[in-house]
Amino acid sequence: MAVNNQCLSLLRRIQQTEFVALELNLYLDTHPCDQKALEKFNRAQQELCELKNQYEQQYGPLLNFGFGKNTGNTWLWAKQPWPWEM
Amino acid sequence: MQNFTFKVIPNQAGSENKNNKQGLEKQALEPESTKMPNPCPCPPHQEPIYDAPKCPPQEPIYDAPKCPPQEPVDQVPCPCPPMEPIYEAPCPCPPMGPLFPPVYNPCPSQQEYMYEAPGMPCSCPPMNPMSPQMPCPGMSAPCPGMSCPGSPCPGMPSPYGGNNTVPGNNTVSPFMPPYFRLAHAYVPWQYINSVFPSAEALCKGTLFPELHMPQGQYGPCEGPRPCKVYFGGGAPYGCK
Repeated sequence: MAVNNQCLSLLRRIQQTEFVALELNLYLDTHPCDQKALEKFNRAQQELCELKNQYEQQYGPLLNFGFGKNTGNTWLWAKQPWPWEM
Repeated sequence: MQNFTFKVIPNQAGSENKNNKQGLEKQALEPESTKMPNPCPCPPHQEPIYDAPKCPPQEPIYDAPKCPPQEPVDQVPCPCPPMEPIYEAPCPCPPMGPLFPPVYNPCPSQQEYMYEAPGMPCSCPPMNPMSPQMPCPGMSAPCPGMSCPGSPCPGMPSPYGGNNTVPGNNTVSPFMPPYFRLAHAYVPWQYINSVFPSAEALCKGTLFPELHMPQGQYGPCEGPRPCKVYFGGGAPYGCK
């Protein structure tokens, strides 16, 4: 499977959104009642799910198991490029 | 007058001359008749090594027990059957307390240590943030000529019995309010205000602008030269 700039750009956006969710996760560990942070976290989480779904529909699974399902009749996890090939 | 015999005891390896000399003197004071029936060349009555040390009943935790020094086994020049290993004998001293410092309750009932901050439900030591975004706690009436954050009034009395001047020196501690205690760590409470955009947050390594500490402004690599020059390696700083 070819890796184009759009794929890398989408991966980058996933990384960025994951980082935002992680930062808010750490903040909420010590500020569990901060409504502003909760709102930001929920928004980041929703955006992250949308981005991951979009990536999996276009370029294949992000994880081998545990997140999306294998669409099609072949094992897509082994067909897409590995991180060092991207 | 009694007849004394002096027995030469070979000096064993590792034993000191002082101990050997004490053994000779000890044997010299005993009459020969007490030794003859005993095939063992040891004195018939030997002080037990594991004699109960005369420890005080309860010593403070950090005081060493006052046990009398025990003679090492290898310093006894005796071919008698081996005695029990000295280090397997349990110490008859009363059990000592745990070797931990006493636990300090950060919020005890002693009111003399409390800082009574207005509006605080608990009278623990101060938890007020000292971030620049927050007003100074307890500094509602600053002394004239002093700005708010970290500018305590010189000589201002502290609730803990001191003031904000350095001991032995009348200079004012530049950034600590007078009610902070020595050897206590304080972490300012974080409040979320504005956050970086996601791309900028990933690039800068934090979502929160107040935690953004770029190289050259904070940390051990201060100065015009970056960390890479001092320590080698590392990624160049900067976002695209």
